Amino acid sequence: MSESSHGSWIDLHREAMRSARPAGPDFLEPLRAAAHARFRERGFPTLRQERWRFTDVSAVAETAWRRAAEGEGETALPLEDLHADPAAYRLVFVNGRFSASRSRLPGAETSFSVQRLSALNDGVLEPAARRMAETAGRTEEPFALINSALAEEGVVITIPDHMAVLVPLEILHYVDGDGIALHPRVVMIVGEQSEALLIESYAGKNGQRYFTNPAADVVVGRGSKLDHYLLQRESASAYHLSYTRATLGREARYRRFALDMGGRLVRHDLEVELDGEGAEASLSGLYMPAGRQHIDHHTTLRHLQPHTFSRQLYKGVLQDKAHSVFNGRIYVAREAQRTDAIQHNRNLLLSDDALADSQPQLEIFADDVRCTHGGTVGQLDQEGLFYLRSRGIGADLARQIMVHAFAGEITGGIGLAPVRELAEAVVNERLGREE
Amino acid sequence: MLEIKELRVGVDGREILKGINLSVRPGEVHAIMGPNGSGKSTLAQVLAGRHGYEILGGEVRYAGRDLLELEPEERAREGVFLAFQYPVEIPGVNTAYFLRTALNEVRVHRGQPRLSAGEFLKLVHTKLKLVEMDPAFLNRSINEGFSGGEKKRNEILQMAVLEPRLALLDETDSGLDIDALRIVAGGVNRLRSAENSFVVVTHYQRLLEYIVPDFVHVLYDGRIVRSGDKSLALELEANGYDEIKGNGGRPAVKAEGGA
Repeated sequence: MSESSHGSWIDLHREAMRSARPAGPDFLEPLRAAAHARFRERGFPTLRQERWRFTDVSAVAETAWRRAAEGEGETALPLEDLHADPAAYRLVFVNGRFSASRSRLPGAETSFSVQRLSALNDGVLEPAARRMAETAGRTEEPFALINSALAEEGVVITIPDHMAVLVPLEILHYVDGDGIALHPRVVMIVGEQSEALLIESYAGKNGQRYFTNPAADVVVGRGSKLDHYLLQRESASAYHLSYTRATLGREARYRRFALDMGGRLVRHDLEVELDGEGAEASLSGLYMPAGRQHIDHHTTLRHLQPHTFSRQLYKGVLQDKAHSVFNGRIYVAREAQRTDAIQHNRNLLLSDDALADSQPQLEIFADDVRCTHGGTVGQLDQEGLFYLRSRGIGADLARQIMVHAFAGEITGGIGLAPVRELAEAVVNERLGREE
Repeated sequence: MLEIKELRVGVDGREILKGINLSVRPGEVHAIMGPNGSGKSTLAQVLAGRHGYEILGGEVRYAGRDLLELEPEERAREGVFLAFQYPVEIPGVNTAYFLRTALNEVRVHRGQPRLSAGEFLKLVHTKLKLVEMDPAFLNRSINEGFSGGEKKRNEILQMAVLEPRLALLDETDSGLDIDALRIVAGGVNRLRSAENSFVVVTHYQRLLEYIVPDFVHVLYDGRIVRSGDKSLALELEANGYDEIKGNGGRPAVKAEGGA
């Protein structure tokens, strides 16, 4: 695909958005224009680019996606079953549009704020706008630029200093409509010495072919804690290309868990900046593609200050002709002495036709660091299988038990009980296990 | 119960068992002794159904059936149990869940109802006492981080829970100190009955002081070269395997060492 056709792709989509006159604060328009121009220069990534050599996005580039029509999808099924935590505050979007009747927002008396991007109050507008502009101005990620150029709707959450919000905040996007594209945005700004739980959920009606392009901006202030859950259960024909940027202050702790079950083609670009002494990031992911699903995680950890700590554990269970990619980049700046970074990616292939690519990428400029990584791709342990079978457990159940144990290392580590139970249920469903 | 006739087994094109004949009746304890590499463990593994062995000839009848035709889990459900020489660690699989699942598979096969979690716990606690194991082991992953002795006791615990008719103990004494050996042997002895049979594979006579066998067989270079009662074990203890290696009561076979 030529550059000019990339230009026309983004022009076409931007024009469609402008003619629809999306509501939204004025600050978005210059941001969209700048991101549009930057994407026009770069275009869609191709397989010739190192970071994209395993992930072919030409199907996204060659499709003229559409905005959902007004009211489209309003008759979608009740979505209660998709909620990760019934107790959570939640914002539900259907086909990219806010659904007030399906949502449950905190009352006006709360001193933290949850607002829609299209209807921001002045109080939270300034920090959100600044953060979004900064991200749009520096990211090199093409799908972050597309989101910045085309985002109409999203959620902006701000947690003030010294506040623990123990009720999870859940954002659920559900798509029911062929050919739809949505570019939802999340901005989550946690002040100092505070605590919050964020759940991002993406799901869609199976069989529908659509394009979800979310971007999240996360700031965790000094001494604060944020647990961030990403639950991706898109239609098996959907394209999901996401971007997340998280910036951690001094002694901030950010924990992230990503579950990927759905999607025809999925790519997550995650950048975490450990930008304060003692900042900690723990990232984990579980992906279980089957059929011809393709799931790609690219993580970048930037250790920018001394005594920063990161842990990554991503695991994949691949069936049929599925393909997974994990690329974990760890950058340690010259100033970031005593960095402690560990990264692991483990893949279990349940089929001879499945393929897992795993690549670490270390760029270390400090001399006093501990940095380790490991990537494995293998099959079920035959010794373990025989051991279980020799006790009377049938071959199929023995395999399920072994796979479940493999995945359990990730699901068992999920802090929030309802999310952990949901993840376990989803894993069981994929493994066809009844118990 | 178990009838092995002229069993020949190979691995990677090499013949390991060269014609085994062995008959085990209900209630009997047979010890199979022999130097390293003689094929003792291969025999135990083949009987339990491990893949990767080629059956070159002969047959194995168990309770009137062709044992070699059965999958490992079918053998277990029919009452065959192998206590592993090297019990496998399976991270992430809870020991209690594993034991209950296995027991219920076996029970369903026998036409018995499944045990609830409560019923199972009651049962397993009596069995834990048998092998002097801490109930805390039930909540740990299978064999993960267990000491050598704990792993062997866990094998006997599983045997006690599953109540096999034919138990194969593969070098269960290896790596055990005397206390652990006493506990393990005690567990085995309490499961002895007129119906249950044991085949005890061991390199040393030591275990047989605690589990007294009815018959002792010496396996050498893939064949049973001598059989006798428990006094044969004592004789081997006194004289070692050199005499057997010398001619073994059969045409002399040159030992090729190792394996």
